[in-house]
Amino acid sequence: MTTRRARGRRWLAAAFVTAVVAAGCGGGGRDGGSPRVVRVSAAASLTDAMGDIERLFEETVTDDVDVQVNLAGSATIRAQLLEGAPADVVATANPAIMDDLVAAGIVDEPATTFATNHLVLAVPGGEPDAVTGLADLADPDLFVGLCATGVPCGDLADAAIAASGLDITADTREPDVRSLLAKVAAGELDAGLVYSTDVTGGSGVDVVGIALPPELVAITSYPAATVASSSNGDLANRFVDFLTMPSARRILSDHGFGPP
Amino acid sequence: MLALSIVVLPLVGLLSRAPLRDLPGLLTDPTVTAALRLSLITSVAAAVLSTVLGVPLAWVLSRVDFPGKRLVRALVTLPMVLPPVVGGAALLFALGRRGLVGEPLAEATGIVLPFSIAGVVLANTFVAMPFLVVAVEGALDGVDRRVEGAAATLGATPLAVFGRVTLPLIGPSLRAGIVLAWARALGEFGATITFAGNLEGRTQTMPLAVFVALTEDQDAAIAISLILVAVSLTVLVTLRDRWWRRA
Amino acid sequence: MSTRGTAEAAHAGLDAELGIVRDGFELDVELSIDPGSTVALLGPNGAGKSTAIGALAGLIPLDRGHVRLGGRLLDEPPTGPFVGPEERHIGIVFQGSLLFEHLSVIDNVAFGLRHRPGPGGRWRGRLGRRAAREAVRSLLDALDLVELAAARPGELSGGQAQRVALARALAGEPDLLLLDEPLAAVDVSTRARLRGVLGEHLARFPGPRLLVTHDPGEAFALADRLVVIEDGRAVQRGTPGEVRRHPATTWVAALTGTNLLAGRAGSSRVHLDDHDLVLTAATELDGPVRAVIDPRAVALHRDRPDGSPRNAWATVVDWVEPLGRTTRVRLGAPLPLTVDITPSSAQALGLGPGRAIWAAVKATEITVERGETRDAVERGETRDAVERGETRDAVERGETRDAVERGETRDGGATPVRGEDPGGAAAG
Repeated sequence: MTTRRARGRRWLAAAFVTAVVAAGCGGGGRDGGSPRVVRVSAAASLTDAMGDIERLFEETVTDDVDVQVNLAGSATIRAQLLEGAPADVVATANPAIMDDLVAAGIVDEPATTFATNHLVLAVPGGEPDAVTGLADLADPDLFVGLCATGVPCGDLADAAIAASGLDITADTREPDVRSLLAKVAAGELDAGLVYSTDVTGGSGVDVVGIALPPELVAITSYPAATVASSSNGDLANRFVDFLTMPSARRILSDHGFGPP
Repeated sequence: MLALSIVVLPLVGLLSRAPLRDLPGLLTDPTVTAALRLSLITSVAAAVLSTVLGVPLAWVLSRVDFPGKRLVRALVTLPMVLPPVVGGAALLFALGRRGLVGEPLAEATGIVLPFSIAGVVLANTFVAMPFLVVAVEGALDGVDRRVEGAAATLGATPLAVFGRVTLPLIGPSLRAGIVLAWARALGEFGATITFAGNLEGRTQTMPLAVFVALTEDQDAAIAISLILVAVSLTVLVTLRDRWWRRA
Repeated sequence: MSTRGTAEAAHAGLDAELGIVRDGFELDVELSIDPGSTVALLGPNGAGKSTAIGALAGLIPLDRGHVRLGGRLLDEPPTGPFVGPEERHIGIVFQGSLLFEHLSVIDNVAFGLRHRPGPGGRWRGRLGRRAAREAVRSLLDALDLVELAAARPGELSGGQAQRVALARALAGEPDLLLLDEPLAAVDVSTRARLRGVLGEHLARFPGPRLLVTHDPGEAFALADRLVVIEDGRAVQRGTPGEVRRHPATTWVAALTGTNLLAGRAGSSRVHLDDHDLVLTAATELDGPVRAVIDPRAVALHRDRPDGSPRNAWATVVDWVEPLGRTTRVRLGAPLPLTVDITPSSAQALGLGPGRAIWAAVKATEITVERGETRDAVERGETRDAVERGETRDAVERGETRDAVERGETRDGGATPVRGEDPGGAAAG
């Protein structure tokens, strides 16, 4: 029974990886067999920051190491790891998902929180007049997008909207924050609730961020941990530690992440 | 044998993981029923739209000579090889709220296609219609033009020739094309989520529900997949028997 | 605007000048058919017969000329009208039937009635399915198709399919009945019977009738007049008898089995162009001539014949072909001739390929006409091939004999179409 289950999990994982690569979110990597490899599965909201951290780690921390980053929605990452996808380090966009992985024995305790993030209202760049605050989203003529329920940014958004008492209905629940952001940037959506890190200049998309009222600011923290089955535990631990060091902290800060 | 196992093996894998005990509960889950209903409506609508638009297009490709015909023929089949996500993005650029045609359309008529059922149907039609066009064009090429000429000499107008002679003659291929287009529309994911978004009850079709559920609740995802497989299989088996068997 | 003489006379039948240029092929044929008369358009494959049918049917627009049927002008480029096929009222029996596979026999036959405009215009007052079926019952009966009314075309034999096609063409009471190779796809055993049926219904059809065929048997059996076309042009017009006795081209001659030879006459002596033989004819002429020898006029003998024949020579048998009531013999050098003798004579002579034999022709049996033989010289070598191909097929079916006999009962002078006489002679 267990073997059959495990086999099934592997198949599903393979399908997942294929889907992720096909969707164009595959992580980078270098060819060549000699360097040691650290495989990092990271939340989609870390896309830009993780690229810089990867480079810095490879250049400064140790020679001969190749960091390969697999980016996806945190929930997708959880599903991949539960299906046995190979990884050395996992970094998610909320603690709940990390807790699931701990409970499943996928990662060793304790996870290290290395950054925080909070939701902002994103509107298309160049036309900031249409939406000035969360209250505007109650207008049924506006097109509003949220992350899907079960995805950290979606759960945060649901919580914030519930707290606001506003009657806001979404026109789409995108499976990850990046696709939500893309639709806002394209002007297809008039507004979306995304991470503050997504609207900083470094994200490269044409959106403007509008801060939420302090009482509605929903904060999420980013834990990272070494995967228990990692064949490369030492290097993986060093990568996790690196995330909290000043040089990495500065990169995260540059991309809009808050301190842990 | 190998070909068959490539098709069947993944289905067996899916079945082996089926949460049979939870199946009845999932079947009545409002998310699942809404997605199933939406999928059936939009896939049938896409098949109808593909037929209404695709048959005349196939006729022109088969019967009318014009410069650039080879290019047009290639363009028509392009969605078959294009990644659906790219197709969805292209649809947004053309028919999105800020799209080439979409923006003036919205201004003139107030019709907004993205994030609507119509958007789902459009995305489905975009990927499904080529299957119908290819099937029908091939069948039209195989029709003896002299038979059409014979009908004309008997007093039938060009439209009557098409309706009373050509269409019945290509009947089996037309029906096969409709079923293919329908099946392709039913399974459509990439173009739909890119162009029409994902909202339960409005644009969340079965494949989208499967994708969202996979990240959250795998058993639910597998159950929805099984429903999708069962519905498709039932329709394909029924139609194949009824439509594809030549008299 | 070349020859419009016939068009001006109000013509109740068909009056057409078909001028079409297509992919380097040029069709230029005039056709005139009176009501109640049958014309056969006879020619080899590729002569332009299909193009002519398309032009008459309205499936191929004319480049020049005109089509006038029952006083209606159907096509006259560049300024005249073009009437589409659906409004021409031409009933066509197509080669290979071209029945609608998805309809029953009765619905095939009724198809035209259902699509003819009703009294209230194109759509108003048209016959419904039931009424149309009812209207064609008697026609089905006349063509012995009642029992097949519900059958699908796929279940029919070739002969049955052609009867259905004939019924379909007749059902709309067309202004012109056009038969395109009606017997081509029918097997030999039913061919004679079907030809009888066709002849009967052709005779009953009051309008002009056009039979298009490459088979002289069909043409001779069913037509009152022939128009022979080759390479898109009419090369001969006349009654079957005329054409048989005075073939204008090698192809026509080969078709009928007639031997057509080119030569130069000096008094009654004819020096053949391609053969080392001098014939003696009863006619006295000088200059280039064509000599025609009926295949039945050649006598074969085991030994040198005594008596009167002025032309006798030793030769060998090239091949022998039994055709039923007659046996066709092909002679080799010095003069390749087609000879028809009775099967009993063939047996008595012990004929077979390579057999040495004497051939004799009476001077009075050689028809000598003044003039060059078109194509005869150039095509001297292909002639055998032609004969072995299409002609032999036709002859095998035992038709040429009948045809020739029928043709012979008719009379009239030879009217081979020459360059300076563009066919007007056959119009009346």
